[in-house]
Amino acid sequence: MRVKRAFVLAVVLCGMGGSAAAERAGAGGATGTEPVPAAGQESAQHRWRPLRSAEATATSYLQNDWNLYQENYHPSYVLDENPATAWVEGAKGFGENEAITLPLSALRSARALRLRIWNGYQKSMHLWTKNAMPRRVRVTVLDADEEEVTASETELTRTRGPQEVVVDLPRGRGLAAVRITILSVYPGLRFDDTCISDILVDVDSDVPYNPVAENAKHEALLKWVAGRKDQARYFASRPPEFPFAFSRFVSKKASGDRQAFKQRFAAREAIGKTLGPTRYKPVTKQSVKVLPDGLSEENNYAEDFAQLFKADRVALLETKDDVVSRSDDEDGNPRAWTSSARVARGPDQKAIQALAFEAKEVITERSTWSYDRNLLLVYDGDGRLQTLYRSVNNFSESEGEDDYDTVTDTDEIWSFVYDAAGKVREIDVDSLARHHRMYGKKAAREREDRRAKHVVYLGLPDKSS
Amino acid sequence: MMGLALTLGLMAVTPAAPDRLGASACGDCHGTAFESWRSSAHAVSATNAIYRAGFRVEPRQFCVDCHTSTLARAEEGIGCASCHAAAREAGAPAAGHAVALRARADLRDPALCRDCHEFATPAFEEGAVRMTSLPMQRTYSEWLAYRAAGGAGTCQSCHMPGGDHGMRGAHDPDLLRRSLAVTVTDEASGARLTLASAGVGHGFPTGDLFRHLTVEVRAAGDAREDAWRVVDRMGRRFETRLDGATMRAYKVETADTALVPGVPRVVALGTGRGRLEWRVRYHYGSERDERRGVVTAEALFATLATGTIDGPSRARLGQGAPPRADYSASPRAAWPAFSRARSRRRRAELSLGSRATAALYSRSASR
Repeated sequence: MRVKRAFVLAVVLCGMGGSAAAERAGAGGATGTEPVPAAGQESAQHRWRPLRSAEATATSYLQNDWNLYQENYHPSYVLDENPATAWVEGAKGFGENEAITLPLSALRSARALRLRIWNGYQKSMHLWTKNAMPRRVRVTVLDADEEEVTASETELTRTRGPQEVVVDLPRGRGLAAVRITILSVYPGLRFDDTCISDILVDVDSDVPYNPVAENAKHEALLKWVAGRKDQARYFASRPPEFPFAFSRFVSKKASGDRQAFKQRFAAREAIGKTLGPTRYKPVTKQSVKVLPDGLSEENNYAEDFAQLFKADRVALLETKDDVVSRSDDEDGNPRAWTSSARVARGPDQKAIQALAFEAKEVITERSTWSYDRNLLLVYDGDGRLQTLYRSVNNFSESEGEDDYDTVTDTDEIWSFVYDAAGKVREIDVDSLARHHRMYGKKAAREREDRRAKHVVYLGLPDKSS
Repeated sequence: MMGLALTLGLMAVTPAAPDRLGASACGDCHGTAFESWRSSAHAVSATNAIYRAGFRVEPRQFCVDCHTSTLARAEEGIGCASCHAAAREAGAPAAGHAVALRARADLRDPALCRDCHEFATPAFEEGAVRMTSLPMQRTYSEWLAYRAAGGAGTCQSCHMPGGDHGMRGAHDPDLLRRSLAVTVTDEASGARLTLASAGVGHGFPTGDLFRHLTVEVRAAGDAREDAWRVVDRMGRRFETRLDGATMRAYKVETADTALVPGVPRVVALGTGRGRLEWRVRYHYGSERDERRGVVTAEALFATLATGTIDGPSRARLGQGAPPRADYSASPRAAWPAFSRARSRRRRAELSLGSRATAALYSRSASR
């Protein structure tokens, strides 16, 4: 019985595999491989230019105790030109039929695509031999509509350093992504995890090259890698202000009763009436830098209240400003705002009982569209965030060809469950959504979900907890 | 992106089978016009790479309404019926046609183009959409100002000479090159480019709000594509702001440096040592589009002029560079009289497509 675990301990028994960065720069191949022409150089038939990806996706990737904070194994690690990291599929067994997809810049036409693949886990000879690596793979090139442009099967060798796969493309067809599907593997000596350390993609095309886009994507990838490392360090350190018992939460979904939800949500009105007219800017002494994995998804907007879990860590500065914070997008354009807060206090006029404010995020492209959140935070007698009432207003993606601009209004109740140490160990989120379209005959028709949605976020214990 | 007024009109046309309103059906009898149209940007208005990339980010009905003919197949883009079909109240179908047709005089009226090339920016907020006062496109207003300053010509006379349905415009790089005059001055005080639009009756660039020109330089002999450095950008810039009292966001235009007819723009290239290579590039999308890489570079850029500068008084224009413009004989010499105030006033006086759009949205967005 093989163990489903990629062995991360860096027991380096042999020299490192060829560095992808060195290969990109034109260095020769690593041990046991033929030198491969670097991007920008002529080979016998082709002139190669590198195509970058900011992120990769895969049908699965391994998540276990050896990779607590996803410092590794994520599919995007095949892009970082670092053989010490790898994509490790996460399916049971050897991962046949698991696939990794690299989105590429859209090209109208191209003669060929070259993949340079660092097969297996090339961090060390030990890891390379103990883990599995793909043997037979299907390489599929996709266009912007995710239609298959061409697909071919090829056999990878059990080689340290890079190996080259060239895919000739049909004339007149564009490309926008490449997918590698594992069909068979070289088993590892110990583990049944199939790994690919790096994949570099080059193209031979007459379409003018856009170095700005390629460089931007690679910089975004490197930024993600660096950010992931920072987060891992932060999770491992677990500072006192980190309000969560775990660094990762997993969600379990169920449905709830609509009427019961409405009755519970009505309590918000009564609490809202106790808010005073004075406006405040909430300030925390030490901020929570990173949210746990699983809670940090974009549509959770947990960052709105992540600093406000404990009332005794919050100082309220009286202000006349309507808006107390703003953050900008990557272009320096304002993107998100937070309003000043109104507060309800206890009988002693000191303890915070409730806090209400608004958050707004605006996406600006040709038009603008906003995501509005109205929050009411309710604290228990110990000053811990007990319940969050929230109304979220979103513009959904179109659901079909003729169904653009669906608006979704969602009311939510978040309930927090604490452990003995006063850290959040579970979060129950009930919500009820209403939808309406802005256009056409059905424009004014509002549709309410038949059931309330119930999601439980359970903390996932890890070694250090 | 185009306004909605045209669509409003089309929605009321006499119902007919889509195939009979498709451009290919018209092509059976109007072959020359059909073949010209097939090479036009109108024919690919719903399928071109920039529209599709934009629509992927903003899948709005607002865009669909004007990038596709509501009467024929969506992929046909702006087809024959989009311009030639008349409103239902115009009467019975014309002889041999599926619908009533617009009168020839109407087809020659620039107001017909205004319907799709002048409209406001929508804001999707608080569960509804509202049309803001910021024009997303304003080519028609620019043309009005140009006319008011003494310019000659109409949309049709420039873009459809002799009735050419190819409707050459910004997507024809050769036309763009002919429409830009670049003069190089290389003196001890520094090298400069003087840019001016030539024979253009609106801003340059105009149309989509993200279009812009850049002047870029790099050391001659440095072949790296990423060695180019932008020294000037001509086009519109925007910012998102928030009214804190209402928590309502709005987009504002912070600058518009597109070339105005008859108003040259001088760009300093610096006084650095060594040979300098320069180029003027037309960008069809935003800088963000260029970073995303989802649109091919071929569709995003057109290089309009290039050259090298060796030193004072030794400038060399690149091959195919346009001739120096002579404005002394141009009726647009009075163009500097163009002012934003006048443009705004004229826009207010006219019933813009965006107004009809706003009316439509205010009705449909009411909840």
